Amino acid sequence: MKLLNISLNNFRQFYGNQKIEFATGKQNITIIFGENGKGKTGIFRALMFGLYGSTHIQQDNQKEVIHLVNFIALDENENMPVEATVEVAFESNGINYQIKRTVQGIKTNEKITERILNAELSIIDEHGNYSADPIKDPLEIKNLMNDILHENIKDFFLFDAEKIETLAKTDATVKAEVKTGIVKLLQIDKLDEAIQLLKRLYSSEKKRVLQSSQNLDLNRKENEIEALGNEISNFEERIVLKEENKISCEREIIDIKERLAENEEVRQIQEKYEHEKEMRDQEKKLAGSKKEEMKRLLLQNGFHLVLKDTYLYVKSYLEQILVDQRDLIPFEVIEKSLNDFVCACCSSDLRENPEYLRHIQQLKNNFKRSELTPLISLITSSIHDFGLEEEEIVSKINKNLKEFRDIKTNIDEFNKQLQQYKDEINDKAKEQENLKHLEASLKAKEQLLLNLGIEIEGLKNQVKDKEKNKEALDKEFSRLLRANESLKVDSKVLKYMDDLKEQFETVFKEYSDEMRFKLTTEATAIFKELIDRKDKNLINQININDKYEIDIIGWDQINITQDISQGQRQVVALSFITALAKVASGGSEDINFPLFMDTPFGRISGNNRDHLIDHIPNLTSQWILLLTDTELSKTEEMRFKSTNKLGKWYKLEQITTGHSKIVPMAINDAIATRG
Amino acid sequence: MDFLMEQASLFTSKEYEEIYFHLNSKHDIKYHDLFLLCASIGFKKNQKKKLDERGREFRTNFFNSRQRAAVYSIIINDPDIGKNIEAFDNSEFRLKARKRLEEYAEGGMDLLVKEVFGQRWDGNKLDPTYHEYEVDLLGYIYADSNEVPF
Repeated sequence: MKLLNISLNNFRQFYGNQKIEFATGKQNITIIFGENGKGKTGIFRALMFGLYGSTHIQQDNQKEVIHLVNFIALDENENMPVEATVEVAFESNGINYQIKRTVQGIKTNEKITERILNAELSIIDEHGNYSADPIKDPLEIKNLMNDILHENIKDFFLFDAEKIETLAKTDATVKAEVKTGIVKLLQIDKLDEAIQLLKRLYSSEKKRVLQSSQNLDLNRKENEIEALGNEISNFEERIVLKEENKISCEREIIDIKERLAENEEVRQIQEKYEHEKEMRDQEKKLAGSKKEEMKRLLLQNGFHLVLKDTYLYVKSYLEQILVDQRDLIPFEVIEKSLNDFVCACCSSDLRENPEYLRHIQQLKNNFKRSELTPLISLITSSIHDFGLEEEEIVSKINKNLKEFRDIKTNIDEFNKQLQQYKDEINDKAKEQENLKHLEASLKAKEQLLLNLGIEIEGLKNQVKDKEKNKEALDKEFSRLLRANESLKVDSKVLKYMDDLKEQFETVFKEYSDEMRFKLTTEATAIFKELIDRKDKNLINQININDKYEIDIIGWDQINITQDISQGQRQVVALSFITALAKVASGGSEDINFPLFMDTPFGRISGNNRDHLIDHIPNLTSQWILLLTDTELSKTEEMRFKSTNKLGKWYKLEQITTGHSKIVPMAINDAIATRG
Repeated sequence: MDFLMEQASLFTSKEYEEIYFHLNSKHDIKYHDLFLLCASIGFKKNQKKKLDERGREFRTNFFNSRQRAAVYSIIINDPDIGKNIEAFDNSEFRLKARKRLEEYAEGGMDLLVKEVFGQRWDGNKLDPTYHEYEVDLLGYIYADSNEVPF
């Protein structure tokens, strides 16, 4: 799908007739630049309304009324109906389409009423001729649009900043978003609905059985299960809250450090601190790769090392077995000797020594290949191989253990030095009255951050324990139910429901596991392309775990989801959405759908922005960006221009309140308003 | 004869399920790798323990050929059922051999808990904040292999 143009007439703040042509082909970037409040999101709304008839976008409160007809036009025509239209022209599989949607509004006594009118979809031939009768049937339009870009997956291609913000968080909403993404991509939402339905059915049926049975044991058990379930949800809520606190605490720490750095002396120590920290991190990285090497040694050779003395006895026992079998000469040796007419053992010419030849022929006739021979060869050859490598392996282990200890000592030294720098900053801050309180709050925040991390970990472990207990209680409940004669039928019904739910869950899991794996691979690959070189090695993998959480795995295989910066988190979010888009496009090299992003660069640092600007145009066939002034400074403008991919520029200008104008710019015009 | 190539199950205990789980999920140490390590240690130190309740399970054909050779060496050298390679095609013997391996693995894990994990195993789970279990395991095996038995 390719977006060609969008025309707006009295839609939102776009008074009158206005149009945007989208860039396609080699120069595939379109930028629509506007400071806050100038109407960027209005363009996004127009696209969503035009293509799908959506009156709300994700960031809206779905219950709130969103007015689509321009206020000035309504004021000018009080008590008269005013039509607002959006027309989107696009191409899909070589066919051009034009969709037009209209909303009618009327303002009477300061009250605005709006209603959506019918949509029209025209198909345009290669000469630009419109089809005689546009399609007006809403269902037919919906089906056709869904065939082109299904509305269930449109959010992966056309998304607002809210989406990135949501995915960049570490709370439960991300989990829900990721799961929705996977479910939509696989189109297994019906299966998910069936599972939820069965869960509800199971719990209401269980309640009914309990009420009618009056069995005290069962009721008591059920109460325990319910109480534990509530406890678990309560703990999960606490975790979410603490994680939010952690993120805001991290932000505050960065802020305090920046303020402290305004003092020259403190800044100098901070620089030393950062330098030392970088060196320590290098050393940590070294420790990580040493650890990997040692794990490999442990798994490949650990058992050999433990069993090495045993091998001597095994070898002699097996040799004896072979001797007893009298199959001293392997069959292949006999065969080779006979084929070559040369004894493969002693090189005697068999033509010249007919008695040798007869002997070997006899050996062949008598050979009884033991079933044990291959197994004995497997064991003895493995023992033999280890014997050859043993010395080298032992010395490698020794070397690695020693080096690892040295690296750990170095890390300790670095940590001591880092602490010293921290103390120095502290002392400097104390000397100056205005810095005193900053230093004190920095210390308090760092301690709080540490405590929050420990508390979150503790809570998570408690949830795990409680889930285990609940599982045991559930089992116990089912056992009691089965044991109760009068509830036998009910118990069977419940079991049937549970089994059915489990079967659905298994199918769901199998499908989504495969999708998780695909997304993990894609998201990691895209992330490696998008992230700044400096951070490339920091993150090893973006993993979508079996709970649909985005786990960020560091170079040392440790989960660092909680430890990365907000900016890095946004790049992770962008990589994930782009991976979704790529998988949704069938995994082809470039995404055959436009990526339409509303204010995507929010917290992304300069270097990372440069990387995104350089690489996203190569990932997708069309990139349309709505950017605000803080996202597009002169630096980004230069970067965009230097890619030679920039096809169209537009600037949003506010004429008056309620009237924004889309101004087309020449590619060589300067656009950024900030340095 | 190479009966570990079949898809028979080997079990770990419920008691140490969390150790297997933790080292698998957080350190990427597969169940069969850890099992073999434990069984070797249990065998070497002559520590056997019956499984009270079954925990994690894996198939014997997960072992590669070097690992199978090590497992067969344990079976061949077992004081009760060993020195009987001819019995490898007997299904009753195979069952007995698998049970014995499970017992050694359990005994070996007992030892690791005592000698390697120590305070980091609280009876329910391994300390998730510690990240050097593989280093400690290797260190333990290395030191043990250098020890003179008498």
